[in-house]
Amino acid sequence: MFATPTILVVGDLGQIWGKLDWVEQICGDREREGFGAEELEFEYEFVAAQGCCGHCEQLDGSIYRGPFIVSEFPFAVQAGEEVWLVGYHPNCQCILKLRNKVEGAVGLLYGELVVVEG
Amino acid sequence: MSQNIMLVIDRSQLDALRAETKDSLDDTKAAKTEAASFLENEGEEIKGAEQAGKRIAKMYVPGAREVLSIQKSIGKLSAGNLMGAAGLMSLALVLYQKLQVYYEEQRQRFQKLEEDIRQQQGYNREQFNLWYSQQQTAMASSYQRPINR
Repeated sequence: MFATPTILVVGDLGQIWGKLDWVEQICGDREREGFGAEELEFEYEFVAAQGCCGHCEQLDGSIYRGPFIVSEFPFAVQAGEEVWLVGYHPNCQCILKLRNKVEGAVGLLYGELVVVEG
Repeated sequence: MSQNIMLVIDRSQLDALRAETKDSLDDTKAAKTEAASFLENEGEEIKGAEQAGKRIAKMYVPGAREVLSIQKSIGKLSAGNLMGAAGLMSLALVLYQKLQVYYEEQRQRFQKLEEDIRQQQGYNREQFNLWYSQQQTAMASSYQRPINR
């Protein structure tokens, strides 16, 4: 089960209020803009179409992180928010299906709240 | 065509927390304003009463002059002023109690955090203190820095 990250907000009342405003702003931005489908946090499962080629059948059930879709499947086309058409060969009906939408998005959101030095 | 993955966030808890913090902040601001206004208007009388109180404390053998001075200082505090002072005192007490509860909660949370972190990471107290100070520095800078996207 995915555990929701806990955000600790410390400071005096004024600082806490400011930080909560900041969190609210980031949440609002992400609700509007969303996250790119190729983010590392997102995991996609290869689902081979019935009767597809032997190569695709071997890949059935494999898990790929977002950025690897581009490198592993250069002909892949995003067909929806959660689905990529693999396009491994002509008439290929296999798909890559997002399997951790909420966890990945929450992880990315949480990552945004933690500022990286530099 | 690239599509972004949208996330619907349940912000009810965050909204409740913000509202609660804002209420506390408003209370504090109102109390500060009231206290500032009270001190501005009644400062002289308070000063007089304070001096009179000090004199009472130091007065082992009260002389006639001291008694007159005390009476004069206390006489400046009219009935209205005394009520204002009592109101301010009770407000300060409520705020103090709220802050005590808040600090106690914070202290308990910190203790729990220390126990958890030390257990998970195998830190001794010194290592935990170092880790915590690094976290504090990071959080302090996160408050000042823009979001790193």
